[in-house]
Amino acid sequence: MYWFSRKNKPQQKQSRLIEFDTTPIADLSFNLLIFFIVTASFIIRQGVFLSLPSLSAGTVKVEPSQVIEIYPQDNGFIADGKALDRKALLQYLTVRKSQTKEAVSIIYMKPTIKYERLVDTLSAIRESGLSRISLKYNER
Amino acid sequence: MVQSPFLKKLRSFSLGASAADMAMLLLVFFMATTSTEPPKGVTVELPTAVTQGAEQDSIYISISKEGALYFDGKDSSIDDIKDQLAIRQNEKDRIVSITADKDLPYSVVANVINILRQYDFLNVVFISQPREEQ
Repeated sequence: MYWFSRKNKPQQKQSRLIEFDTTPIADLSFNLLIFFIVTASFIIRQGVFLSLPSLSAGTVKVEPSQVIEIYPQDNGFIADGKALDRKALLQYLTVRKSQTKEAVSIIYMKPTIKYERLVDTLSAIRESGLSRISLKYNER
Repeated sequence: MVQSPFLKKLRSFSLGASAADMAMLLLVFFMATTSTEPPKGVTVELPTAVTQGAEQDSIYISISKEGALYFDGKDSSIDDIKDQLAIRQNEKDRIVSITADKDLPYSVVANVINILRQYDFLNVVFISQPREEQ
């Protein structure tokens, strides 16, 4: 009887604490972290913004005195009937801005003019503080 | 060594869990905040301008010196770009980044601008390299 009871005696449940080893996760995370820091590109793209007019937008009436016409050329600009370099254009635009309330700059771009001239003109206009810009395709 | 009843109650602990938490948090932070490189498509010589930071979440159109077009890094024709813009009509508020070679004739860029206007993508940024103060 003794051996029977001994053999069939239910075993005591051992309270085993199951532990989750987090060390590999920490290692993996730190490795990924270092990988991201090393490979991530911190290059912020830069550019000149322009809001295009909608095709459905109506016309805006502007006084002739408010209009500043700029004709970018491959080696400079023509504004107010004069050939100007960048510095002179910037000076001219700054003066016009101070003289005219809500001046509108119109850029007349010829199809053969280099694209960099457009960006340079936009940049000069922005530098002068003018905000109203119109872009025209000048086929002549 | 005989342990006091108080010490017996204390469980051993490791710093592994908190290190993992911290690493994961930093990882998520870096993944969320770092800017991803935009699709290039083609390498171009950028014009110079006084620039502003352009948004990362843009639609990218690149134009090579030869006039080849790339939409979001993929070689595309004018018709492909029209199709893409027609499909993405719900993304009209996104900025379109135009990366064009500085020596490109304006007529090519004007063509792209006209298409953007047709499809009502009106926010454009001409990607440039920052002008050094003179």
